[in-house]
Amino acid sequence: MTVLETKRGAGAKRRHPRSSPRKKSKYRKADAASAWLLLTPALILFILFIIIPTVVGFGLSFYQWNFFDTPVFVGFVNFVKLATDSAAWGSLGVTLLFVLLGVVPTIAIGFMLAVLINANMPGVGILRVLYFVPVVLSVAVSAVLWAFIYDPRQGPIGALLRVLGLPPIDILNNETLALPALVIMMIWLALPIVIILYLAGLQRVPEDIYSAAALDGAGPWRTLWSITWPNVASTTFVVAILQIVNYVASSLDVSLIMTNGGPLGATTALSLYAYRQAFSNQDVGYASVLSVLQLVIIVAIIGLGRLVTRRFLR
Amino acid sequence: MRLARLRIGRYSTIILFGLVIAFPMLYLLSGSLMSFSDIAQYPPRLFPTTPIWDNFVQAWNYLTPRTILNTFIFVFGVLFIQLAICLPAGFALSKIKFRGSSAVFALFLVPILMPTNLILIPTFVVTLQLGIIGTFLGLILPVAGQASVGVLLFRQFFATLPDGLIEAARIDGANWFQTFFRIALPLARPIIAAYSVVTFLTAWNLYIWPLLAAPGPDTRVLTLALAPLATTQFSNISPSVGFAAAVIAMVPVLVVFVVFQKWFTRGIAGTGLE
Amino acid sequence: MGFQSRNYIDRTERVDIVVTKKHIITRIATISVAALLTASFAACTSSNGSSGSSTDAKAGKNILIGMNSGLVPQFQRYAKDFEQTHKGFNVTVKAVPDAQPDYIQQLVTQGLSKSLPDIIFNYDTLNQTLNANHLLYDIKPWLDEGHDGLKGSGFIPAFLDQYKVGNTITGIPVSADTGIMSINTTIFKKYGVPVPTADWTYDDMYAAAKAITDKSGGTVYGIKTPIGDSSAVFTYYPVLKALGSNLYDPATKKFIFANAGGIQAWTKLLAPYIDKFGSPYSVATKATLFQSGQVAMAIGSTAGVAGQRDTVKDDWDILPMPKLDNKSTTGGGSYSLSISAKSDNKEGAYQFMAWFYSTDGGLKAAQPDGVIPPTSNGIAKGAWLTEAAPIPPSFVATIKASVPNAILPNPIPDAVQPKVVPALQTALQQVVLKGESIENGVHRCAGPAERTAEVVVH
Repeated sequence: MTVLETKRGAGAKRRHPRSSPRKKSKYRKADAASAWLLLTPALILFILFIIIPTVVGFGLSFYQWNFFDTPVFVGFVNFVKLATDSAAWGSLGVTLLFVLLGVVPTIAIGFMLAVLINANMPGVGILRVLYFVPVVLSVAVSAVLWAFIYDPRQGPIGALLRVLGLPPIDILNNETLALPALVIMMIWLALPIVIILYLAGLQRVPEDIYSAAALDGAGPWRTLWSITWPNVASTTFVVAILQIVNYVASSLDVSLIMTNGGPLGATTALSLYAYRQAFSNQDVGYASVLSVLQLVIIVAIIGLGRLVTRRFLR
Repeated sequence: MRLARLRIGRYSTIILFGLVIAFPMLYLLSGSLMSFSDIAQYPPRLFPTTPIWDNFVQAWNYLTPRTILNTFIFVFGVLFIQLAICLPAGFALSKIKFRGSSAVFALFLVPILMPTNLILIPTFVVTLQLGIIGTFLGLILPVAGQASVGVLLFRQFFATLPDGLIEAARIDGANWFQTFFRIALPLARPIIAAYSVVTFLTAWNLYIWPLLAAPGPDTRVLTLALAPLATTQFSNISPSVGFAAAVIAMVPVLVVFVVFQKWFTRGIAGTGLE
Repeated sequence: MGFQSRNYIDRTERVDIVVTKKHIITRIATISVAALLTASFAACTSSNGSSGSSTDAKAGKNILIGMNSGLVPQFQRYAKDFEQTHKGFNVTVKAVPDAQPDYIQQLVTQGLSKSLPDIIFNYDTLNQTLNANHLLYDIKPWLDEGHDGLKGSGFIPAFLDQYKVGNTITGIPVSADTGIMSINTTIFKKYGVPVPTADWTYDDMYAAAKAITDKSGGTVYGIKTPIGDSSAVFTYYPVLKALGSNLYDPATKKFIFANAGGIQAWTKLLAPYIDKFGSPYSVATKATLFQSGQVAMAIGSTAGVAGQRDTVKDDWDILPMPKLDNKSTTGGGSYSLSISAKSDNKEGAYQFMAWFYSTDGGLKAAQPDGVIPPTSNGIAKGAWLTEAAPIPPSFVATIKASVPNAILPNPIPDAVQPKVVPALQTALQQVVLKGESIENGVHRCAGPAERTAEVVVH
């Protein structure tokens, strides 16, 4: 078997000759105790500051609240409202577009760039810093810079069009172009974190695999596809979850600052719509229902993603 | 010879893509040195007529040293607590077989999928009831409690550690804590470094939670000071000062990057297995 | 190998939760816990309403002001001045965020932790919201009696009325900000178009704008299109009124901006977009179009003049808004100081405000910051008259002409107000971006607005 045929390479598990199923059950009780002890600190903080507020946050779907008065219990009224709200379903469509256009390119580009800069050459350390630029700036500052880039009169894209003799395009006010433009900006913003995670994941791949592959005559692309990519599968899993959540939820910040949900709602995703319900209409209960919907969508997308990747892997 | 040409090729590709990604930064840097009239000019200038270094002085006065110190306390507090709680949890969930393991893992995963805006005020109420609002503790703990990503990441990582390694240690008589500290943890350096950078960044850029929980001068963080410079309609301060302030706020982050990336980009020699 | 790798995959993959009987019980338990938690949360927040409202007999000495972050430095100066002349007082100024959602969230959390400021930063569009949520203290009684020397009658009515809700007054405007036109005289001279004068009309303005756009071949736009992201109510509101329309008519309790006069008004306002002699439509505010010399004229406000002094290099001046059918089209707005309903020191807060609004007290200290006194005395005799900067040349004359003639919007019912601006924005985008006719666009957004108003009111 050459290395190329073994997807897992040297990471294979090897059972210790002395262990056996019988011995394992003896460890169980002590195992559980140690496990819970290791988990306790995380669980305490987590339940206190995340689980409880989350439950309350979702529970508010059954109430009507405008921030200032006492919340009033209204049962399923907010859910019924959702069923008849066409604007909400429209924003759902926009959310799905964000995810479709954004997640895969982010992962693909991030992975390839990570492989590119994962070189043990002198001076690369400083060069790598360039790749982390998008995330050292806050979203607000980035929005100002990108609004400038997309500006038809003042930005470089407009300048390029002028040089080519083409008419200027106001990208952020164009119904079809605004969303892809925002997605490009979001990819740019997301790259550093994806690259960092992949860089760490790439460290788990031992050097000898690459040398063996080279000896077998594998070119760089073959190596990438058959060796590197499968070996960072666990990283890809984390990255995929984080990015799906990112594109569903963080489209809020970007679309709020750059286009305010326009033009004509072309960039109003579910997250922005829920945000408006909470803070412009002061209808916290309805906003909670929309957040529940958001959660459902994310779970559905992740579930779908796993189904698709399982089909591919078989 | 061929190797040298490959190397140059790789260097240039790295530089090329790096510049493409870092390109908007150029506007930030040059904008921070522009005078008010330069920045408003059309056709837009790429470089200032004369660099106004005073922008940085103004920005520094705006972002008082105390604010910068507060931000460091906040970020490192969050980072250390998170590492302390997520690493053991991730290890336990991936390597120890016990009942409820899957349920606990699922519990940690669910809040990742949640919008933060919604739980802000409930979290505030909890922190308020605990009596720590307005203190560093109240600022740090709720953020440190966001353990989902950490647990997920470390669990995934520890799962890739060969079971044989763990079992060898256990057979030799080590309990789970020793196994964790002596075997698993040292191998986790790259992922710890990566997670530290990610957490550092996330905490550094947090705005709304510090705004609600601890906006007082003793606990004010950089984002709170920066916000009015960026977007307020009532301020008379030039946007270049805002840019200069953003540049100042960027420096510690870049330093962290340069230092930490050595940890997650240098291969660990061997895995200590066979 | 096969068995191993399957284990390997299984352990790293996400866990599927299987629904069993045991889990159903767990779910029921979880839901009940959730309900309990939310109910207790509701109980926590209800402590808001029961913190005892009362006016204090004695004035306290500590005043906390929550001020917009951009204005904090100047208010800290005013605070120091106040402390010098009023011994024993201790005034602190805290920053509040700019964005309305963030501000509201902060007010909520401050309310919960009982740390609301005594004096709250407020502005015309926010007043309705804050008032409807019982956050503001009614100062009409004190204003009527001239408490501490601060009389309601001293204020310019149009501006004080913005903070009148029913029979209460819940805020006092800080600066009388009116709409003005900024003119780049260098551009006018360059293209040989005569510089307009203060008694111009809307048609004069558009004619001049067309001339500049034509003569410059489109490199310079004659006018910056006025509606922007349609949140600048002070731009279109006076035009609506001049042509016999309104946004919301309190008498009939209807939205009437789509009536005949309204359609005329919108047609007038949208002319620069449709006939293309103005800068292209954009959602972004494009604050620098005037400063960078890309437009020859721009609607601005008096509050923006101070900033423009630093940034505009060409010769420029300001003029009052042109007349339409011999009626004023000067809009206005303001930010204000309001006293918090939950404050323990309302008397002390009012004393600060009395000092602040006196012509020789706070308003004098505020003059260098571009604050135009909203009081008749201040307009007639304030320091801004004599200490105004030389640029723009017509500053004093313009303000004198604009402030008394400012037309400020009347309040809209709280439940509908947040929907108006987005609806208008959508209508505008339909017309400008999609070429829909103005009648259709405006009617389309008036319909829902009227229906909402009816639901609320009846």
